[in-house]
Amino acid sequence: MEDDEFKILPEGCVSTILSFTSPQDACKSSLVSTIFQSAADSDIVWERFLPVDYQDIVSKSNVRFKFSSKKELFLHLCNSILIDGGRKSFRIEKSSGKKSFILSARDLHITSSNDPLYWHWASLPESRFSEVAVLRTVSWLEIVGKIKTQMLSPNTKYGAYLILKISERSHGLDSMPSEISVEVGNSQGSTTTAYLRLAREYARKQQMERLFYGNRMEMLKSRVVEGDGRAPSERDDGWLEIELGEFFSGENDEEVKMSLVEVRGHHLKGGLIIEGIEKLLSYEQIHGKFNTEMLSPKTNYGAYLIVKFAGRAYGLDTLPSTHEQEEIVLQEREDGWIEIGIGSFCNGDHLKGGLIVEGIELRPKTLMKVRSQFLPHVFPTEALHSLDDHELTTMGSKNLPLIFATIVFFLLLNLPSQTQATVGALVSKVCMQSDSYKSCVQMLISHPQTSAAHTVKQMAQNALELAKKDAIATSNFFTGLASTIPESKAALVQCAAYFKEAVMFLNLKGLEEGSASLDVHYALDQAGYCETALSSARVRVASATDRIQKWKNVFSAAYAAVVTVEN
Amino acid sequence: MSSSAENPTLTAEITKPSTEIATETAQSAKKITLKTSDDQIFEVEESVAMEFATVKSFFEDAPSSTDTVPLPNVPAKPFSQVIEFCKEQIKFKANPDETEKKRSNSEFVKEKTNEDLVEMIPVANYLEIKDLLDVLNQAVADRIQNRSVEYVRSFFGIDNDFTSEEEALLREEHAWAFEDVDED
Repeated sequence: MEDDEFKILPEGCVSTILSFTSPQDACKSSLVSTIFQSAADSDIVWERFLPVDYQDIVSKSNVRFKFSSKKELFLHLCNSILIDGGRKSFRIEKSSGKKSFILSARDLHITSSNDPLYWHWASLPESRFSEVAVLRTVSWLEIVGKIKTQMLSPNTKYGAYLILKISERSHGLDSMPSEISVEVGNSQGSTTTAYLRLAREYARKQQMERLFYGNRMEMLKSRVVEGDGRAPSERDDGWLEIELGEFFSGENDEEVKMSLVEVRGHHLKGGLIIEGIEKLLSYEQIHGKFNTEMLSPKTNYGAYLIVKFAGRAYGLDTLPSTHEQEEIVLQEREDGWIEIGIGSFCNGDHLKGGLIVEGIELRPKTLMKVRSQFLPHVFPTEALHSLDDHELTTMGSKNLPLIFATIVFFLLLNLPSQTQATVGALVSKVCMQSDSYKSCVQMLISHPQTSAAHTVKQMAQNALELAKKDAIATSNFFTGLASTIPESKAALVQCAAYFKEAVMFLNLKGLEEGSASLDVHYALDQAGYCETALSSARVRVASATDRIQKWKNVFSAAYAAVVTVEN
Repeated sequence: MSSSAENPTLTAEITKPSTEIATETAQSAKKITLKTSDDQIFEVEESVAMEFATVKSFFEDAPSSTDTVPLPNVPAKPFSQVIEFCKEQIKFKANPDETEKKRSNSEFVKEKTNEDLVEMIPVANYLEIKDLLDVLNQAVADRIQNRSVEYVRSFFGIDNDFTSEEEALLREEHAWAFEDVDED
């Protein structure tokens, strides 16, 4: 079609397409062109990314805020806002638009939290909430949070994290593991155990405990369920967090109960080991309830209890929380709190102190995106998936042998090729696999080391070495070209970078590990990116085209050699 | 045009099941002639043409018109693919089967190149074929998700019309969105 009018999509169509992608894709698309930019900013797009009940959530916010577009609102909600009179914190995850909540300690059920003998409520500058629960001393530690799945994003896997801090002088908190659990609806959820302790403190304490209380601790541990005894991890916000568990938020509205309990110990803890007896706490029980209606439906939420251990926390981890539950450990969060994956946790009859609870966070669990080139062992499916229609059309027939080679090579991984043969026979055997037999033969024969190669493998090593050197030369060539043609500098610099990356993929290790044909193929991709960069920047320099072609010839010989080895 | 043109709808219904294959020669099926922007003539069964909301409203305004309908915004190549889609859709109107329809739709887009899809969208948009537009938009969205800006540009055949300053500014503003992009 000559007439551009037909090729340019109406802005409304672009908006609709972008609304089917993700917030991340929409933002990225702003850079495509001016039409895409205004399409990507439109309310049509962002209305779809906002949670369906966003108006309801905004109306529960503590502060009124103005926004001129749905996009602005979306981005505003990506930074946490306090809702429900400051008892919950809400935010949406930027890349996916999924909902996250933090239930403040006030929104949890913490046993005895209203008795100032055991707990007190304090205001900490580093907390997002106006109040946090600070453990004085308890023997019964129980923290429970509840939420309705309807409040969460639907069809999402959530993690629940207890956010907390453990003070320097904590006591009794990790004498035994606390039991943590997450239950959805009536079904029995997962239960495991956690130790409310700081990793660095633990190292110091461990020796002494083993010496004096080894048997006792074993006994205490046997009172609770088997668990992984997880420990808190540090958050970006300065707090610790413990993952209480994970759950899937489906279509139905169900109640999620997250808890941490340690009530099995029946022993006092605190003053014996750590100073600060006057701050001894015995058992803590913290509960949180949360209606899942508030959460995004069909979303896997986790419940995290957000706590801190007070300067003199003790006894919190002497015993694992409740029966038949497992141990969990707390993690420090960025915001200065510690998170405990919630199960229930009640401590034994021993006294515990020095724990500060900020709340429970429910946030979508994100899958780590696996990038195929960094994980050669998972490449077969990855590689095949990525070969979509577009690549098949643009790369032409090259992919077909690749797919074949990928599969074949997997089957033949452990068959080393030790074939001895004359150099000429080797070269022609290798080059039969190449796209261009003639240039492949020329390439290999021109290399002085070829005559010294007695196996296909040696030849493949040589060819890879050649391709690598040529990739470096090509990268340098583009760097040089960039300085001579300033108007095309951006694309040329990109090309230089692409070829530099190609060098990485042409490694000899791949031959040993059997991933060479794939690695090498990634190098070819790099050349393809360079060509795309050049054509989209309308750079037409004959020497550049020749240079790429030359590299491709070298590459093609290396690829042929690698495939021969793998076959 | 057939002899029973005074009651085309009825005839079409009666003859449809038995003359599915022979529609080209069937006397009863009323045909509508459409002319594309590149002056190609398409003879399309009335039932198919009525899937195009734009054409449908043209006939509602001028019911007795027998003239060729000009489609100045529709080139022949994507148009023939659009007709292919609508022919399939009509089968599901008589015999609704959501699963089969979904399968057929995904089959339809699967076979199309990126260029095919991009060219069909303005046509579906102009002819107001909502079902097709939904299918195309979703298919395109799936293909550009997690891809780089350069990939999206070449996908749509769009030139970058930002100055490098504008582009740098936008990139900075949306820096977070450029993490973890799939390789093209």
